[in-house]
Amino acid sequence: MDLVVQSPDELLSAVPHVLGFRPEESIVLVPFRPGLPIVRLDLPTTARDRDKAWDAVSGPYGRHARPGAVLAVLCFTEDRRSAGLASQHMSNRLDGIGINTHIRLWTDGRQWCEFNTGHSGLRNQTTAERIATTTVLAGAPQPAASRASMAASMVGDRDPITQLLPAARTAAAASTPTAEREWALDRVEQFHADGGGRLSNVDGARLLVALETIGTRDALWEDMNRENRTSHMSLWHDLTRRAPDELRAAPASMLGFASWLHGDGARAWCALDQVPDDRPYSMAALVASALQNGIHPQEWDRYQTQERELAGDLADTAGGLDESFVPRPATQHRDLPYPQRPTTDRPAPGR
Amino acid sequence: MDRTEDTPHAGEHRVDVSRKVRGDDQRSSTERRLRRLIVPEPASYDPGTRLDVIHDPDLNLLWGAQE
Repeated sequence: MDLVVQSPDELLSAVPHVLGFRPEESIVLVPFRPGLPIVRLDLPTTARDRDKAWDAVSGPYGRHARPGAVLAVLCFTEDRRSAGLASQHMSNRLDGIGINTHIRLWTDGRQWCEFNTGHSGLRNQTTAERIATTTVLAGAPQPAASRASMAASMVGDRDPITQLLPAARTAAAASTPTAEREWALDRVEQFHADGGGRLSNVDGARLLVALETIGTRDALWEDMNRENRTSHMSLWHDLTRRAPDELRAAPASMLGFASWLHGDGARAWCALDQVPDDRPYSMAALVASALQNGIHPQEWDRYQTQERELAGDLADTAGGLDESFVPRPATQHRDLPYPQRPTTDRPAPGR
Repeated sequence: MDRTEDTPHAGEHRVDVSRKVRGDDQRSSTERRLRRLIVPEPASYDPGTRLDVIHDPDLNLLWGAQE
């Protein structure tokens, strides 16, 4: 689907469709060519905040920049003066690492101005509607009304699963971690095979309790790959909405990781916001580090490849292998019913 | 049972990254290997400044197909 923007107004109308939400009081860096990510952050309004904003941006952009990279700096704010100062500051710093800023654009929703040329104009509702229509016809999801509304979509009715927790815990105590892990892996694989959907409250409660076992959580984590990432996002989004406080850290972190793997840093942050923060949850910290450092999702592929190679080396050396350290290839499925399934057909990371 | 190396807890708030990174001694084997291989320690940034990074965006949507 190509829109190919022809004007500043069209660019400002199209960016929310790429971001996934309508930015507010934000500065957005949009590259002209593949290679650099799009970055959004809160609009800095003081000199100190402008330096902090650059410190945050310089990591990801310094890591991914290539000679001759070109981008646009867009400011969505009522504060035109801060937009001018922030976009100029960002442009100057980007120039220092070889990235040229061809457009510095500001809008308050009613008008726009391109600071480099001084050209200005009015925003046109017809333009926004035409671009929205084009994306709908192409099957693309419409952007959330705001980042806050994206976050709000992750809060649902948490009472039904809360009420089932005592029974789920009793059943888990009568079972074994290995059996619960096998059930969890099978259930998630069935979720993928069904093309998504919604887990029953009973299955949701059982899966959330199973995730408390870190080995089970890690096994499901290592199941994620580029092919099934959207299915994982759907699963963990639903369970983050429905999980009670005491069990929400794991699904929210899984949603954060799957969203990062999908390249959607904003959604990943919103997921991490659903992790109760009164005690550390180390997986959430790791996802936050990946987001804040602008780590590219393809690094997960590299990680899984390295783990497989390491496992292969160990197998060659020792003639045997702890399969718990072997990520499963993306194309390998657990396609046999549990009683007949060989014990070596998938990884069981963790302990 | 190998439950709860890092346990979910009550209360719903925004994530405080600076607090969460103190859970170093609670990392699972997957987390430790990821830290070693790809994710740097979060020492060089201000956890109060959040970046929404969108990797591999559909730039064709904006600029059209490019060589």
